Amino acid sequence: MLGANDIAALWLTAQLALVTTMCLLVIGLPIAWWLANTRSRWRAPVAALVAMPLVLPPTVIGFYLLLWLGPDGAIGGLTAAAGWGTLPFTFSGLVVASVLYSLPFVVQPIENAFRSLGRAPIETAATLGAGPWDRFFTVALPLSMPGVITAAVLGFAHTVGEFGVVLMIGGNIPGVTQVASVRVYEQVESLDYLGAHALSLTLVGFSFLALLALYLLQGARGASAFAREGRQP
Amino acid sequence: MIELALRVGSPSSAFTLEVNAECPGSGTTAVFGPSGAGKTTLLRAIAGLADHCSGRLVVAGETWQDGRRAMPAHQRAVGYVAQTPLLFDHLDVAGNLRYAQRRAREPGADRFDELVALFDLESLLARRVDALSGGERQRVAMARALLRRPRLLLLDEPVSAIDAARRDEVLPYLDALARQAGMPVLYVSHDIDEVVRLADQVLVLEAGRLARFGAVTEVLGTHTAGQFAASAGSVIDARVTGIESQWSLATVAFSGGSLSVPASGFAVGDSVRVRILARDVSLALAVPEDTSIQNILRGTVAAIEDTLEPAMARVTVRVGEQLVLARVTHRAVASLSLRRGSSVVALVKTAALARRRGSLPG
Repeated sequence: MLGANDIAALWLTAQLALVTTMCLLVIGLPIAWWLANTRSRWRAPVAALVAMPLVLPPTVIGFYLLLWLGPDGAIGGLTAAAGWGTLPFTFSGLVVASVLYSLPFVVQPIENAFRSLGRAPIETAATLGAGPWDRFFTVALPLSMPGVITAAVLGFAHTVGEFGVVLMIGGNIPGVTQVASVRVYEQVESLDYLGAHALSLTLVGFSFLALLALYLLQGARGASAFAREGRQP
Repeated sequence: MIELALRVGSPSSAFTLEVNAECPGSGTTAVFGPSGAGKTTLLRAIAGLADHCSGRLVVAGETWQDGRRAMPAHQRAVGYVAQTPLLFDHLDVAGNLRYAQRRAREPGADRFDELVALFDLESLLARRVDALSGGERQRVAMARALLRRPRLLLLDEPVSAIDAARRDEVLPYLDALARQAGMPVLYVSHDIDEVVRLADQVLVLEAGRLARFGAVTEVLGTHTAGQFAASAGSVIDARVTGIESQWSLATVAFSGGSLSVPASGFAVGDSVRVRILARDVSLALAVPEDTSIQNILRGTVAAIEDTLEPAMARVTVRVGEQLVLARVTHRAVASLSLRRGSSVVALVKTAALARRRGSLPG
């Protein structure tokens, strides 16, 4: 039932979601840590900026990204000067857009996890001789693992589910920027309902399984399913 | 030697802590005072965990705080056991202990097995920490603090979070800790019996200020602040010289005489501390006949002070080298014509014994 273009779109979607999730964790962990611990007056503005994609229409984000990343944009000029070309209508452009768009879905669960840790574990680690990096990786992160896993699943699923931003910044180039959601849109536009069904049902199934896994994992948290993962030998 | 001159509190905060003291480089110093006096804040400041801390702190020749410059907490060789100690949930008991051991600043003999034995942790090593009882958690936390190889041990009411029935499970380990430590110990407590039992010096905090600092016998015997009013009394260092097991009594001797005290589990030669509450002491000019009171000490009046109760006076009687407090009415003081230097007989109705633990020579 799934054609070659459908498979290509699904594969591209999976790649995009995976790369985006990894970038989101790398970027999101320090931002979440800073937001959870800082007393800076910049906390509120930064938190608001991170949360913006929750509120803004994806087309607005896509529109400005298109301008900034394009050849005449501030960032586009830099990437062009650096020899990387411009990002719109490329896979890299999709990653940048997806990372921005899914940032709150990753930062907020991790920030909440860090916040609910309180100061006690970090202070205890400090009095036992652990420096700041040591404390983060051996205490804060393992104890916040449920939040981090939630964030990763949400980031991944949200990236799979995005449409407006990828359409604006990536267009609809099969095999390059045509992700599953855009492919469904194209099939519906061309009245290929059977193809749309096949791909849509695949996405429905995936979304349900991803969320089911998330809730099962969260339910198991009481039994410390995550807590054991950080155990040292 | 611990040189302590710390100030904690932001300019805007209502509570500030200011403490200046020099603690000896060994032995147990009790930090005593009512809740809200700043006991925990003092310990956190010494551990490097308090915000807005300034002043000077030198421990074993190493400067931990100099003005506003503070050595970060993780660089201070301090063993800190909080009131409800936090164990890392993501590690088992052995993992918690190894966490501290790996980060011990100074390499040295591996004390892991020794401390596991001392705190009786063998059977717990593979256990998850959320399956431990309060007393077990406390033991793990104490062993973990020592594995860090601290130069100073800070204990914040280590038994207060454990219910009374379980306390006896932990107290022997605490004694072992104080004996084993070989380093100065600062021990926060609001329990005067604990202070009598464990401490060499006592540092009394009131509303963030140092109210008294000195040897336990000296400070507890003369301190007159409100928190001591109900439990005011004197503390005497003594030695057990006889046991009358048929009466469950022990005879203890000190420079001013001897006392018979209800006691069990003591042996001749034990070093003890005797605590005599002021309300259990009456005064007379001569030894009365036919009294049920067996403990009679002769001394001279060293001071007569007012108390918070208008009717009552506190009379300090010097007995040998020790001081005994008596709580009597002003009328009694007048009718006996007591004044400084008067010879009196102190009638001690009852007293409590505590075995001396820790590092003080007997």
